[in-house]
Amino acid sequence: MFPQRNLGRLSQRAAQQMRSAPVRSTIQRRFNSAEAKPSWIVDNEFNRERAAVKHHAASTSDLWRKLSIFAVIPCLIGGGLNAYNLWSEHWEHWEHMPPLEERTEYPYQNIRVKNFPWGDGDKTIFWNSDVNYHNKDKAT
Amino acid sequence: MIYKSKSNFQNHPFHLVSPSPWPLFTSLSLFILTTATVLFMHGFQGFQYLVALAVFNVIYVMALWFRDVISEGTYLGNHTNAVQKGLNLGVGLFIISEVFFFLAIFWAFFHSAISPSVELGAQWPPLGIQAVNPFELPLLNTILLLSSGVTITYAHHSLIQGNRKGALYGTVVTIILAVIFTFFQGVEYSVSSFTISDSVYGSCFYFGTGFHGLHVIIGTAFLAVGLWRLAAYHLTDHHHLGYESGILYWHFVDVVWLFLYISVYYWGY
Repeated sequence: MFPQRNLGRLSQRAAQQMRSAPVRSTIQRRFNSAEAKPSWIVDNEFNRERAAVKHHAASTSDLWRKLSIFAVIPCLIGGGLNAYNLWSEHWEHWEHMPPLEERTEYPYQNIRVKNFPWGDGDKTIFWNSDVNYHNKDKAT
Repeated sequence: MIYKSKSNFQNHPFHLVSPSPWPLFTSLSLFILTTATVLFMHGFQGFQYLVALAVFNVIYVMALWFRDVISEGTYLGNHTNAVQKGLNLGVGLFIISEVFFFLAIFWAFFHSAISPSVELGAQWPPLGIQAVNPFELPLLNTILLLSSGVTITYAHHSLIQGNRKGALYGTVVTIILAVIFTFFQGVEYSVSSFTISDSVYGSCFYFGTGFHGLHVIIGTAFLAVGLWRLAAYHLTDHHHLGYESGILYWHFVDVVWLFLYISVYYWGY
């Protein structure tokens, strides 16, 4: 009987201790919680500065969130529409230009000194036959 | 404290690095890369394979090295405040060296553009070169890059605030905007009526925008690593040097674009 009674008392005392403030804050620490000022943070210059930075970030991040939604999205839509219109205009204009073979080729255009080390050696990377004139005489 | 346990602690905040193979391996990879590239450019047969291998090697060794740095900073606690200051300074100096790299490219551009030679018709863009309309895709790309600057600032401030969701969303949106920018640059390249071998205009244009595009791709990878580390709980509200460096690098790339847009696209139109 004696050891059992002792055990009961021990568990009672343990339960009491668990409820006391310092123990509770240690075992129930919330490492990722948004709690304003956890009890284990000491009041010193380093921690005060860090808290100030964090506090400041709350208002600035809200500003940048608003900008991300209410400034960025309209600007992207406007810029996209503008680019689309000018893109269509450009190709409309392009269709009415003389074919590539009939345009003047100045001596500084389509320079070929030696073969490119890729493909057939005569076309640049990003070559597009619709817009880039292929001068077969200049092939090396 | 007794002498024996005292010897387990260092009485300074600096990181005394342990022996590592990566500096040597990086040097060797870079040496092979430069040598192979020079030989390849001089027409030595088959050297494109060595160039490809060397590029792969450089990236691979860099990944292994950065992996070690991440372990040291995140898990081994080697990145004290003092060490962070040093790393920050290193990133700053690296970006300054990049500034001078682009300064040289702009120098080449302005050298040819400010007083175009008689052979080019004494005008810029030269006769027969149809420059890209700066108000079309380049303007949209400017908006895209400036927007990505806004969203990454939102992500950064959210991280400092302790708002994990905001930091993740902000970074994801930034990376999406970056990828769209790169895509539109690719579109612009493939529909452009002039190529890199069309006069000094083409050379300077693709020299500048090409290296900028490469830096955008590197910056996107930098931010993507930051995003992964954010998602993997590597970063805290006050210790996220890699992430911050990625943001700094991204702003640098953004500013270079603004200079390119103003001088190469707009002024040179």
